[in-house]
Amino acid sequence: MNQRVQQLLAILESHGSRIHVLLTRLTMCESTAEDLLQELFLRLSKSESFGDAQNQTAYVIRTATNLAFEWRRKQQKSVRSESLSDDPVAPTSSPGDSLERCESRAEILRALDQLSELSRQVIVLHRLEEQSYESIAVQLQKTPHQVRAICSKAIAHLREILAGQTDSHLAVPRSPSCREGAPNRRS
Amino acid sequence: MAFTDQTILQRVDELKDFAPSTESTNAAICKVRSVLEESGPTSTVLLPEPKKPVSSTRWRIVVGGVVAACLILTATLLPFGSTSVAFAEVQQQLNQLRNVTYNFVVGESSTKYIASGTLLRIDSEGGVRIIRPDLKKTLRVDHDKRRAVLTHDNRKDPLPQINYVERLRTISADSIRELGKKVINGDSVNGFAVIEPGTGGRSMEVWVDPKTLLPVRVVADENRVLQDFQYDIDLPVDTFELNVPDGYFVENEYADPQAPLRLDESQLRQYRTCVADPNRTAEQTVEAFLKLWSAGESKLAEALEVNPGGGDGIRKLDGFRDLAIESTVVHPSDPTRFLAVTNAAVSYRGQRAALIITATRRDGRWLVEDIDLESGDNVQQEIRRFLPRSIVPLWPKNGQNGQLKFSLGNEKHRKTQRKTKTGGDNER
Repeated sequence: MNQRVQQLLAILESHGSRIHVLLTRLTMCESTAEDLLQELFLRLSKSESFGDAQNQTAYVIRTATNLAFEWRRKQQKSVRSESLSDDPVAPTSSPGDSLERCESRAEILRALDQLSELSRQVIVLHRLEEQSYESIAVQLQKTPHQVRAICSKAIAHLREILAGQTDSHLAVPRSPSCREGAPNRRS
Repeated sequence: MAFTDQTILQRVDELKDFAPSTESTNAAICKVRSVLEESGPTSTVLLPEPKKPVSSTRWRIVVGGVVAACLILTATLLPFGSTSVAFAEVQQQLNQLRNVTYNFVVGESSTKYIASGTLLRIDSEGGVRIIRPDLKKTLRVDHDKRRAVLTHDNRKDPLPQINYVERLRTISADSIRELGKKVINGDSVNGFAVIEPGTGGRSMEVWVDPKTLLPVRVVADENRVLQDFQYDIDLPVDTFELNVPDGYFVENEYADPQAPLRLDESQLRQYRTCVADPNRTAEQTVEAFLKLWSAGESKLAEALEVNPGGGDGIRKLDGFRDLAIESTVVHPSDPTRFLAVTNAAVSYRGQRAALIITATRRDGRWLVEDIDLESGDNVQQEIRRFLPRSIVPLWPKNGQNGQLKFSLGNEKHRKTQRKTKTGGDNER
């Protein structure tokens, strides 16, 4: 068994569950997360840059995030209207509530997908992985201050995207007034 | 509609409500592990396994350290469970073993596995991996890069045992089917198809010597074989020791980077006592503060602070679990002021950084007053700032592990230091 496989096995043992959880959250589907986890390690086993990565764990997490959003894009292409019954993880409360939650999550994931890769990584690492700016900075070879700024801009961008999505849902022409004044259809 | 930053972050955070079941995660990991372990020296044969709907029972085969993606057998074709008595004898023999070694051969590549109970050592080309579930640690040594990674499994629910020989001992009777006899290396051996239930359903052949009742060969498929089994051999005493060769760079890694430091009962009792003790020393105060924040015991930790909440950021630092106080000093002219410097265990702006913690004595007890994160020369500047001008600290020589020590001299000492400044290694 070669060194690469050994490295990957070690990462799988140490971080496999964390990566699977992340993939599940980003795909909203356990079985897809399982497939993507396998796809991830297969890609890594063939990747030249993985061997050169300074922080291999961080590299794996980044690749996993990219893979999940790649999958989402393919899904959106193949199925124009994303189905809420897309094998979501078991709902925890009433059907109405879970549908609404699913929709809300799908919406935020679509918005995240529209961010730049760097911004998306920062949001995922900071909010979903609960990593500190310092830790993310090391992984992305930035300063914590830069990471904080990227995060701040990403949130502003998400705000614009979500406002636009809500407007399009409401079929109301996008304008500053309706963005500010439109009622929250979820409330 | 108007979104505030907070509502957006809340919605992102809602994604965390999604949590796959532990079983689902373990099954996914087992699946990947199987594929990786089968992959061998080249990955050209690896292809993403398509999802296959399985109508009734899915079987996964797990044997001897390596699981193979070989046959998916349905219960209708192969009646399992009918002749499991003989394999129970094999399991009995396995239970009595002290250790097992075997080679896992993939094509022309061979990896040596050594298993003793739950301990596992895997020697491969250019490196070694030692798995110690008893210590919740895994050491990976890369001889080519002269580097080692020590992974601390600090998760609440660690992964299931990956030592498959160990798991083979507990395979249930209805997961075993007799394959009959054949000749291997001139000896007649008995075969079993062995399946580990609940992991996806794959099968593997285990060929057993009827005299010893121990496996002599395990066949995942025609290219992947476990062979050269040896039982109860004398192993070097350090086979499973987590030793790193001299000169190798060692990196600590945590399976769950955000999990708090684990304190055992006695440590927790010690720090609780410290919090309640008005006569605690400054050093005890700072150490308890550091450990309690690292362990997520924020309420206790806050009782040690002038301004509660100051240590909240400690757990967000990469490497916080390895923080330890390295140097301390009481202000020479104001004995109510104290400073402690930790080791440079955390990362800050891509550099190793240390915490500088100051404490003060108020109402007869020591409390932490301030905490700073500094790297490189800033550490020394902060210490200089703390000390009166008349004091010149002695800095360590290059290569002394970066440990800071203080020599708090008087005026005479200061003059001596100045004299040696041009040529002295100790002073900067």
